Amino acid sequence: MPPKQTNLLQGTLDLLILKALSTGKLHGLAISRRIEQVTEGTFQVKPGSLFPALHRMEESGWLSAVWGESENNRRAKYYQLTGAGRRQLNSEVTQWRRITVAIAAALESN
Amino acid sequence: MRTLHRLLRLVHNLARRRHVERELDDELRSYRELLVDEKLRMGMSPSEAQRMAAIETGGIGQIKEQVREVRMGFTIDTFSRDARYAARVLVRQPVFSLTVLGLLAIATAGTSAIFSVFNALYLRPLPYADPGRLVNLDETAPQWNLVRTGVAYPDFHAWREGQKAFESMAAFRGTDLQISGDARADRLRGARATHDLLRVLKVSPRLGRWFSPDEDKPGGPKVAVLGYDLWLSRFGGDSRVVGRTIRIDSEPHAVIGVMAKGMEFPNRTEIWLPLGLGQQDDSGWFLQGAGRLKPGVTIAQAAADLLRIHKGMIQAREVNKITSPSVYDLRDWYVGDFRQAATILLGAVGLVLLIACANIAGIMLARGSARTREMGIRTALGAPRLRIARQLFTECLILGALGAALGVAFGHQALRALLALLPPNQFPGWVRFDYDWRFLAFSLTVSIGSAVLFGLWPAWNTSHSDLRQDLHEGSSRSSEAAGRRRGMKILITAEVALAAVLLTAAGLLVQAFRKVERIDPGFRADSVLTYQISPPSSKYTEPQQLAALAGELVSRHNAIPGVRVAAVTSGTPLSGHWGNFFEVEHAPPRRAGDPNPVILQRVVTPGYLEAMGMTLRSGRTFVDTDGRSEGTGAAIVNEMFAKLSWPGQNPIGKRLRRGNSKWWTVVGVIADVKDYGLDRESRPSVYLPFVQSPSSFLAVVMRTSVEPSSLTNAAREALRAIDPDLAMARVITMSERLGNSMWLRRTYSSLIATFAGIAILLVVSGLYGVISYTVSQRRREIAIRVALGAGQRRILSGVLREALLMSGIGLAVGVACGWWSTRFLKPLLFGVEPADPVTYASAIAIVGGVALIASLLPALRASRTQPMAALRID
Repeated sequence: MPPKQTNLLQGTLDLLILKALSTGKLHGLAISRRIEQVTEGTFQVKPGSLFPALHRMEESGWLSAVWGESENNRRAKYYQLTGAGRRQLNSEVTQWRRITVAIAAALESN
Repeated sequence: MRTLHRLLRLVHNLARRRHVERELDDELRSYRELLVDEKLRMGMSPSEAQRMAAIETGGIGQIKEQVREVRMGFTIDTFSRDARYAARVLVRQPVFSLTVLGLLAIATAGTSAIFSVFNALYLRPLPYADPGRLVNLDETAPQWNLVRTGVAYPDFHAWREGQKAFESMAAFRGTDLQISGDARADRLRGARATHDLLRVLKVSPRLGRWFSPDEDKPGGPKVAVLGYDLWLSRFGGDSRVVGRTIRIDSEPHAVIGVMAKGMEFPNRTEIWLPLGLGQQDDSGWFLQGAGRLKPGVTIAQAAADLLRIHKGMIQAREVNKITSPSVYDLRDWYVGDFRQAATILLGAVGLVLLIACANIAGIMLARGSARTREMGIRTALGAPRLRIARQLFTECLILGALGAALGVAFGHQALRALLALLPPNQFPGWVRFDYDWRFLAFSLTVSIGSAVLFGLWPAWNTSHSDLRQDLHEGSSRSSEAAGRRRGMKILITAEVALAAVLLTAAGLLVQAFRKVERIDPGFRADSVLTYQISPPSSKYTEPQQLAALAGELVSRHNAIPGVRVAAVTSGTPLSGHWGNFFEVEHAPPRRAGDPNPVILQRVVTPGYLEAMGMTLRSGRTFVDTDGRSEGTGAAIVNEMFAKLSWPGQNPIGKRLRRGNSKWWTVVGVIADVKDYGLDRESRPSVYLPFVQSPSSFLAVVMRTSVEPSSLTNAAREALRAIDPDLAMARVITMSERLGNSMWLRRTYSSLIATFAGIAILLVVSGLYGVISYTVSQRRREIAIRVALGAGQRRILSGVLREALLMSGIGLAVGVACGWWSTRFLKPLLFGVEPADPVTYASAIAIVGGVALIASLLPALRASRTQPMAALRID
């Protein structure tokens, strides 16, 4: 079954989270900091959208979560990509590229 | 894979709701702490860091709510919303909801009541370990015209020694015993059994122990094992009873054990004694066997194993040429007789269920058309088809569940009423009618299954339809509506057919019942009271003592005011078989293999024929001098015996003997008596004077001039005056006995007749509903026809013709199916022809009449259509 395409805004957040986790497991705060960092502050992910997204993706089986110790010895819930999550990331990346090309083309035309 | 994952998450979320919630709390707290740490590292003061973190995190409650929404299991919440909506819909349409509920309740009640009988008798495991391997052992002798002869001990002994197919086997016989001593004399249902019985059943005593092989020998010690209930009722559950001595049949017996609770093998047994027979003990075929097959051994293999041993004994035991061992499933030994009736009832109630379901489907179709507009609007507003289907499904589910609850409640009442009508103790003691998971599963499946299948199918059909048409269809002119009407007609035709099947079956069975009821039993059942006694062999050791006892009983009972004639017999009609063989003087020698039917032997005092009201065909009844002394030996035979022994001759004065006895002269011939039941064959019978061949089993018979059961106490007094140790058992009038002998036939016949009645009512309501619906749907067409000049009669006959056409087709199909299905009834029909014209004529008349009545009202309404009013409605 091909992964279901999510709508644009939600899809963007999903894509950013999946991308942030593509290099290894992170806890919630670190995910939002990583997104802030790589988008150079364009996207500031508030907990009100971060946590529902994380849980939804966990329910869908894209992410798995484990409890671990943070760098300064705090207990934190770490998320990481599952196989399904990695496939979802790839398909979302492809989709996104198609959309940007299409939008760009649309904007270029007179 | 994905589905599995989701399912696991769902289970996880629902089952560990609190854990999931706590984890979310922890996660959010940890988030904030990490945030505070970050602020601190940036150089904020602790209080500043706390404040900033709180602001950045935002409302925790809101976040949690949002997280909850994305979790699996959220749909359960959706379901409860669907359910609430469905409940509102159902409440808003009370007529529809109540009708469907009523139909479901009737169908579920009927099926679940009958199912619980079937379940109790045939589905529940017998109350023994691994009951599938338990069998009953018997012998059969076609040459004697006996299917079951009982087991002779020498045969059993040889089987047990030589068998290879059984883990263990035991022999037993039920016997009435008298317990006396510290309390009053009581008759108990006892059993004498070999020492291996408990090994076969895999039961252990609750207290003490069971007989050892040494105690199960001729002349062995007198020991007894008490049943659990007897132990409680007579010994107060005192565990010191083991080791005590009690008097059974006037002899002291040591109590060595108390049986486990609920163990009443073979049937409602209250006390067990060792059988105590030796290998050579051959006093006839009066035992039963119980065996436990080795794992994997079939009944046929076991029977072959026993046959090999049995026929190998012929050299030493010539009678084994005639007899053969037979092996039956233990359950069949108990309840095999009811299986046919129970299965037929289950089938009949299944037809009622189908009819009710057809009605439900019809109603749903009609309602579907009323709801098309609603569905169309919802679809137009963007509800996915699946969502609508789920909504309809929820409605059916709710109806089904309510129907199940009502049905089970009604069914329980119906079952109790039914059981209350039956004579007591007709089923073995282990049969219980309480509910179990099978019953629950069955009732839920029937009700919810019917509601969902027959409710959803038509409803689903309506949600299929095309949107534009739906919105249009409120006006009910589309081809959809015509299709729906066709669907209803098919349903009604099917209903009529099913009802006709039931009606013919019921008609035939009721005819058979009437026919059996009219049979002359060969005795006059009114005003006869009987009871039984079994004098203990320890006290009444000599035959003369028994003869004297019988004489005393007759004179004492004759002295009771209200008794016209009293007599004593070894057994009344309908109380069991006592077989024997007689040799007829000057009979041509019998060749091997010639049929030699067993003869029913009854031993009676002189007044018996008169007391029982039997019919003397020729000769005379017994007189006091018959059988008293040398050369006065006498016998009375029934017509069947006379025909068998002296065809075409006068039997009076002919002679017969039993074994090596003296020759006895036939003094009278009586009409055949239905000794085994009105619908059973009689057997050739010989009656002997009591003094000539005293019996250790006695029944007292009194023909009374007053209400017979009013003399019970007087009879008890008379018995006590003779011997206070004798307990009175099975006090019953012959009318009751006759009625009881008919209980099975009466029960299933009346049940099927009831089902047929319910079926007819359902058909009437269904037909009425469908015709009304069709008429209302065609109102515009009819109005136009009226406007164009069609007269009232024409409209009336048009509607009626349609109704009668449906019924006619249904009837034709139904009668054909009914005729076909009589093959299953045949064994119960007692000679009523399966093609009995009266039955079919009445079935046709009833269904036709009912169809006419049901359609007349809507047809009349249609014929009075006012064209202007009708056409203006839309």
